[in-house]
Amino acid sequence: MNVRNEPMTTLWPIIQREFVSNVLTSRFMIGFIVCLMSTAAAVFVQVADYEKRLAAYHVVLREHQEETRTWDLYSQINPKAHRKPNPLGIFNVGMEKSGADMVSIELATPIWEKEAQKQGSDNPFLSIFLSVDVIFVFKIVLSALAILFAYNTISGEREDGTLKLVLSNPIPRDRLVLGKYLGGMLSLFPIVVMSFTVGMVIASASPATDFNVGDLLRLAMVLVVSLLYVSTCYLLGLLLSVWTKEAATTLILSMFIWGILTIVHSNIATFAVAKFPPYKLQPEKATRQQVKKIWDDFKAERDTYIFKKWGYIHPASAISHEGQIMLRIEMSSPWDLEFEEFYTIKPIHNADVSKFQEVLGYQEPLRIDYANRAEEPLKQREEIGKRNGQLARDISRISFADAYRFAVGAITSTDRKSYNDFIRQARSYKRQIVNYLTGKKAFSARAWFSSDKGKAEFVDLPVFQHRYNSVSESLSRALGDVFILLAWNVILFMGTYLSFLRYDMS
Amino acid sequence: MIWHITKRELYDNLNSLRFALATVLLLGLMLTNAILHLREHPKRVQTYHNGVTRHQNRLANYAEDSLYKLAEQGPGWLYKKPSDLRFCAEGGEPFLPNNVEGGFGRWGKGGEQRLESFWILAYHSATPDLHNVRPNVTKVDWGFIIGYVLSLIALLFTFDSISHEREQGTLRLMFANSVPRHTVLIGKFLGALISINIPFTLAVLVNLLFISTSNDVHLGGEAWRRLCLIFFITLLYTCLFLALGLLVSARVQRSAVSLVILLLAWVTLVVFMPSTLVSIAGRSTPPKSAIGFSERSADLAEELENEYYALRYDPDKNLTQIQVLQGAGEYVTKDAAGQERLHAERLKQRISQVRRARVITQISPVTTFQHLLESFAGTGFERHLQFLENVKSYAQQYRVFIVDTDQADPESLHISGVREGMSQKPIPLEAIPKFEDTLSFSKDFNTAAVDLMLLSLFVIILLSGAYLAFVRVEI
Repeated sequence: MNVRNEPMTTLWPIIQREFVSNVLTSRFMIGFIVCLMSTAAAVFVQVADYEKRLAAYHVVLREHQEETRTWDLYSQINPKAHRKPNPLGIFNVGMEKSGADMVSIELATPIWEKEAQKQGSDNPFLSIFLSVDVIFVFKIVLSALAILFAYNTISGEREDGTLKLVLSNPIPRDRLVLGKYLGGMLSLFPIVVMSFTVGMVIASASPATDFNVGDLLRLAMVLVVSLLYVSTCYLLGLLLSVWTKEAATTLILSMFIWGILTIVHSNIATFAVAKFPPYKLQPEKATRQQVKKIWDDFKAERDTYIFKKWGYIHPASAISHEGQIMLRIEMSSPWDLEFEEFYTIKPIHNADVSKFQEVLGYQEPLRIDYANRAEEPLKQREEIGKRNGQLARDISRISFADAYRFAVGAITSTDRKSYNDFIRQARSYKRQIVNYLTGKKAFSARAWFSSDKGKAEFVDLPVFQHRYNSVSESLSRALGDVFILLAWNVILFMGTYLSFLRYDMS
Repeated sequence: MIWHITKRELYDNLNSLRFALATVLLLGLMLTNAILHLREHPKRVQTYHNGVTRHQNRLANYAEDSLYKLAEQGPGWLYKKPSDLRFCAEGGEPFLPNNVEGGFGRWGKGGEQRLESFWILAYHSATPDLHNVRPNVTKVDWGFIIGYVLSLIALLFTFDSISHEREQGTLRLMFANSVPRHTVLIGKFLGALISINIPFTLAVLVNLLFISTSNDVHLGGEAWRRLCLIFFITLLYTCLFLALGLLVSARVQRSAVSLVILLLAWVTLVVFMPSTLVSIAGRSTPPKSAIGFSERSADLAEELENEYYALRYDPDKNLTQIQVLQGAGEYVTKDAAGQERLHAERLKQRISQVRRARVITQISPVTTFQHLLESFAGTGFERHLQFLENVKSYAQQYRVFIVDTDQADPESLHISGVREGMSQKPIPLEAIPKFEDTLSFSKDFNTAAVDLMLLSLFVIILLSGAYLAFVRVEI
């Protein structure tokens, strides 16, 4: 016998036997059908939801374009950053239906996540019902199936007496464990792959979904991570099967652990952090007071500068005129996050506004600068919320079911961080708009407040493009959770292996 | 004999690992539930009381001014009373608004004739998803603990009741004695029922002990009555899963297969059926979008405004002062009625969509059970509809009061909608009807009757199925 081939020759029959004995059971057939049907149903429902979200997205984009054409003044500029629906949300909804999907860019208003909006409207009452996606199906059904495949692998054979027979042959125990693990995984493999493929076929059949290479690559990664997760669950069942003497005990214990890991653990972790947050938020009133203080500083700085340089007490005083003039100034309330003044000068033809333009050229960039400063306390508030959320996630990911959920969320860019990216992109879009206006000298232009001598031009106005992370970025974000899954696999396999080496047949 | 078999089953279960695990799990979950409720409920009650106080202060302010002011501004925000039993069923409450705006002012027009829009009932939406960007979690309420966890425990206690005995050969021994099969089945059923209810009752008692001894939560007589009913419904629900477990256990040869089938049936019934059916049903007739609603609202406002201005400034018509007032009053009241109708239509559309979805999901016993729990806990969608009914009937009462009071003032011109046409006298606060949201046990019971019958039907069918399967068992 060829010595080098010996491991394979002993390993392969074990894998084969395990595979055949699993595939021929009713649990394989039932599991296969349930998994396939629930995946198909979940994708079917989510595709329809995605189509609706996408249609709404296109409608609001069109409406926004129409709105852009109605702006005559530079001061009227109010671009919007719209969140583009993610087609991979069909597989993992994640944050797709939560949070805002539109950020309104107002130059002198700090961008605050809380003030972002949701466009369009479904029936909000329908949110009382639970929504299911493919990852949820995998997280619950596939994990249960993996445990059901593994629970009697050792303890069942021990009860039947076949384990004694197998071990009486010259088969090393480590090879037996490895063979059983590979055989079990080989029987779960078609279920995972087929369910996923059916899901992809249904999703691709929709005219709304247009998966690019990057999306397909991400989906392939999701499949790999799903297999890793199934492997973890299988190994848990295998370990418990080695630890317990009776298959029934293994099953009960596995089911309880499965219930705790998949359903109870993350709920309790998130609830505990939500109800007893380690990072305390100051009352919203205090944050608004901080913002108000910043705007008070702005007013003081502006008034001092204008008075020193031009001798006026208010920008509007810079308008000199002959005859009558009606100046309408609208100011926002002091408790708002923004500080806004709108100037309407009537009649404008007999007013000299050259100084006024000069003053605005100084005031407006300063106002935008202060709006950015006012964003800081709001960002700090957001940061505290994020830290609490992160802690909840960190505690949750102790359970490999949640590590799997987070890994898939990062890969499909439907997680919390991807949502934060959208808000960040909206902030950077605002900077782009400011640069655009600065480049056009729009702040000191007459078209800032009047269109009598030409309307404001917005032909080359930058348009917001919501970008998702690149595949490599998503993968690097998911690495932590993938590593946790891998670590669980190694720990559970080593645990099973060591326990089986010390397994007492008496 | 039944008692003998029951006792045997009970002792077997009490000594088992699953009993210990079930006890620990249920105790842990019920304790978590109690702690969370004690932390959250006082805040909810405080918000409600603040809302009621604001409502009364508003009425007092406007009553001091005049009847017209009361008629124009309306009663203000009307708040839903939080249920003391919310720990039993969260019922999607975060997604249901806890108030209705009874004072939705839309416009004011200057000029010769100062006009203000009249109040309407506006139904705003609760959108916690907009700001809540934490990981999604299932609420740890009784609905979750019983609906998901206890049902799974019930299956884990019965999956091997018959098949395991068949595997071991003890079933053959038992049948060799002169024990009727139904006696064996009832004995096994009762044994499992008592075994499950020991840890569950213990967990419930600990939960209620925590909640009732707290100073922040007061459970009155009616709350205890509702809790007793909830406990009875839980028993019924547990029976359903025990019957399912016995049915499958009797039909299959091996315990392992029995558990696989039961587990997958549980996943389908408890997890997938409610959500998937809802998504399919909920999409059948989507309500018109918010944009469409705003447009229709703006169109109606514009149409009525044009109509009014055409009448008011028509040079051919030489209107008297009274006719001007009547025209203005008619415009204001028509506008308010039209806008309120639009809001009500949208609400009705949304409600009918949810109702349809709820009816379809009743195929799943878990949903039926959760509806029952919500009904008796005074939470959820049906409770919200009850609140909306209360609001509508109060709005009606408020409007009748305004008309009657105006009619009683001899100095008033009785032209609703304009200041000059209505009573200018201040109104004593005590005379104004005040809104108080109430829960009606009889209404809740009527709402729950169909669900209760449906759940009983499910139990009877499954018990009969288990009986037939057991009678036909071949050794």
